[in-house]
Amino acid sequence: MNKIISIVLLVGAVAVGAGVLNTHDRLSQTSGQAKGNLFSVSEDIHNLRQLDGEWSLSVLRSLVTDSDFDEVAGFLPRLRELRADLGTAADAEDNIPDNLKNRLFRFLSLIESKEETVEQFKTNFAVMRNSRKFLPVATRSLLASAAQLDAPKATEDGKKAVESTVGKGLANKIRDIGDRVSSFTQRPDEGAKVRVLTLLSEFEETVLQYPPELSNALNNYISHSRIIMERTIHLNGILKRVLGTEVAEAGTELSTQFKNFSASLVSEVESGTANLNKQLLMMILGLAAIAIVSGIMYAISAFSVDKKIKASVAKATEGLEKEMENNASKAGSGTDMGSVSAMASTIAEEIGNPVGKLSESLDAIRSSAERFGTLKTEVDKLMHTKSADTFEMMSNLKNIGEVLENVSGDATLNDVPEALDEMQNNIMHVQAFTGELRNLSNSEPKEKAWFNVNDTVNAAVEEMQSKVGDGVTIKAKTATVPEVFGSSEEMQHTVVSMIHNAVDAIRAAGQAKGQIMISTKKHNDRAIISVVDNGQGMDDETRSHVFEPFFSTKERGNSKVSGLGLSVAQRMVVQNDGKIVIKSIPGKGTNFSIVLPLKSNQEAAQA
Amino acid sequence: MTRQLKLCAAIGLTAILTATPLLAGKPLSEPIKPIPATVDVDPKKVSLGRMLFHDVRLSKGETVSCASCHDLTHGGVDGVQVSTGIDGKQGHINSPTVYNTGFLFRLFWDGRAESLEDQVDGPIQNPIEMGSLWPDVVAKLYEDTKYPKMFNDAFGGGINRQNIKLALAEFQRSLITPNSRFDQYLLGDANAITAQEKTGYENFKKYGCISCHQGAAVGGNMFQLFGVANSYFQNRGNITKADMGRFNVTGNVLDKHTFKVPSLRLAALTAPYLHDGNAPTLRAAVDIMFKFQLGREAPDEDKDAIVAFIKTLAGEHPEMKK
Repeated sequence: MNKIISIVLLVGAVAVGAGVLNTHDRLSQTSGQAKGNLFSVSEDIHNLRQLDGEWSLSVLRSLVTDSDFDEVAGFLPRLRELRADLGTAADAEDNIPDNLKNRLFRFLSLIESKEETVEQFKTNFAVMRNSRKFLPVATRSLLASAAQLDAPKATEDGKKAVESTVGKGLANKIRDIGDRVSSFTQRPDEGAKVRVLTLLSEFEETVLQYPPELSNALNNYISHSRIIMERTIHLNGILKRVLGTEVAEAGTELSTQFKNFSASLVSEVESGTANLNKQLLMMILGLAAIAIVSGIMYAISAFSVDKKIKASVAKATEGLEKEMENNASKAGSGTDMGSVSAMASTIAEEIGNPVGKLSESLDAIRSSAERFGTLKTEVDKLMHTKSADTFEMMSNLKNIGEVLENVSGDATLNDVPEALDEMQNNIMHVQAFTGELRNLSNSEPKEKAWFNVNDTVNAAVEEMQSKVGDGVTIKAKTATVPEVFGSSEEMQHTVVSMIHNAVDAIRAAGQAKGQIMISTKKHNDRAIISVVDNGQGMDDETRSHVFEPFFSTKERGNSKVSGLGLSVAQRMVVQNDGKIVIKSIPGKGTNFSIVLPLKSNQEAAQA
Repeated sequence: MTRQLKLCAAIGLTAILTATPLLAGKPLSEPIKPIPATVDVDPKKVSLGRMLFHDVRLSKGETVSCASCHDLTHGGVDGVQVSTGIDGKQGHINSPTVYNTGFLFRLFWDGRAESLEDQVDGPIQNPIEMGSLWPDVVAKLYEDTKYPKMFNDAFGGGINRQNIKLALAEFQRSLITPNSRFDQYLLGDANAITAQEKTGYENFKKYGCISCHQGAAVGGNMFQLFGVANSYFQNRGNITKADMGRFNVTGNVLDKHTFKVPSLRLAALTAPYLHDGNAPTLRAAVDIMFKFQLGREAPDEDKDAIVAFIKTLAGEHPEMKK
């Protein structure tokens, strides 16, 4: 029976250990899976910025080449489509923080605003361009007409006509206005605009003096000049917005923030991964301990069977009850079939349950962890991409987007800290249990020396003082006791175990004013350490089982409960040639007394 | 005939029976209707709309808000002939009040907006009013710390021009001015207005003002030619585009100088008057109406009584008392 349990344990431990290692390996593996909105958002932001850049260049090109804005307008459908896509994708993506989303929508609005501005510009520019094309042609024709005014005319009386300067004056005026208008378009400002417009109004009043055809042409000339004057400043304002840095800056800012958002996720992921590694290492160590202990348990079990036969023989001998008790104590465990069965179920629970939970926790975090690993790899790639290599960067961003989608798509991201806590609790449970198993099985005697039991008691009290919790007070009352020869370490452990037991008894009784009194005294050739509590006490049946390993009145599942504490304590006391005496009244309390012999130097030397 | 009389009697009886017994007398059935005490609006949209209404970010250069020209503490107007928009630019038309606009059948003097929502486009985009591009407004509001959440709470969506319009319209629908002395009179309190004011109301009906200024808003439910009897515009001179009225919307020559009849509800608080702000006082506006719309004269005391009556039309709103 014991063999089977131990072997099963050992095999189980190794299997779980292997599973852990396997999981650990898989953490660093990558898995590129489904596409996600985050990818689409990051890609769309990039595309939109790029398109906006090209579009701005196109505006500039149209201005420089003085071509019409058809090419510029050609961008609009693509811009609108991208904007709509991005808006929809961002709307649907709940994992982008609100403030980042707001920046994104702001960016979209700025682009839309630029689109409207460009359309305004296009309309205004077309009008102005028309006037600017018209003016040189009109000027030439006007100058020709003006020259005609001065042409000598044949007079009726045949006299030579008086030389006219009207045409020259008009020509000068036209040239002056043309110069002013063109210099204004080079460097437009409000002052110059007002001056030229005033000049145009004054000029307008004089045109009626010329022949009707010329006067009409002049009016046309003036109105086109006005258009140029009016539209230039307006266009300049629009142009500032079109070619301004506002959209580009908003785009850069947005990308930076999006990158920071990704980076913050990455750092979360990295710290999560580091944490996970730590936890896994702990778990591996814990399982290794289980494996070792399981081996030891196997040995003990074999030993216990041997002892069980001895005990049966002893039991068969009537009236040797006391002797049997001593034998059992010296053997380190009072095992019978009942306690083996208790042991089996205890081990199954104490190790099996936490390991089962560990496995569940691992499952819960595995999928996230895999994605953390993927993300880390992808981010590493991105970090090492040359900034100029936009295409590669985009492909990396795309991968990150996919991973982010997976990470945020399921709820496991949020479960990881909880799962890790759960794992840690379970591992601690197993560690505590295996620690006690080790104590129980460790038959190697501790080094013995002369020590003062009062020091031991004070150290134990000090160790436990802060751990007993509210509603329980510990007091120590020491008397002068000669030094004892033995292991003070083991005795301290024993006292601590008893204090634990006392606290549990107080808690189980629901005692609000728990008191634990620890006293020392010398009685004949014995040193006695008494641990008295006002807890629930125990009946004779319970008292007869308290030293059996895995015997516990307390419910399983509490990580402190293993049922090994008093077994270990008893073994240690026996190692020190002493014994534990229990007096208890159910409902009132219990007195555990550790009785140690006061040895002579000679006896000590023999021990 | 007997049957009709019976029907009238039945209706009258029903009216009397349904009248609340708290009232001093039975409600009057008049062409002017009392403003309801409450209006069904969404408080979230209203409070968002109130914030937007006072927000200068709706204008280019962030210098003017809706409230700059529609001062809620001053009858919902700015008290000047034409308003001043961005960069100190002068408007072309007198700012009407924003109170009781929920009762109007169209918005703007020329009625070009069919709803309060549509109306918002006008001042926001008008280059001499707020001079904004919608996307710019949206972008600016996205920079605010409160708006994105408020919009989400009110509409379950983001900031966009449609939601901004809806919120502003909802806020304006909440701007009603019930409980005027005249409404108290209409609801049966015969002593709510003085003898002169009652005479004024009789004159208002007798001279025919009531044929256009009627309903809850005392106006705002039809278009009318300005200058029915005499040409106001030839008389005034310097005709502007704004003077063309509804013609600017329809291009129909029959609509030249046709305007939405303005509400007289807050006339007591909203000088100067008419679309061009050409009448500095209520009395001056009444004079113009007599001359150009009715084509007749009336004794001063009749006109004064009408002015006294118009002043009883102004009710209350919490924003007016701030």
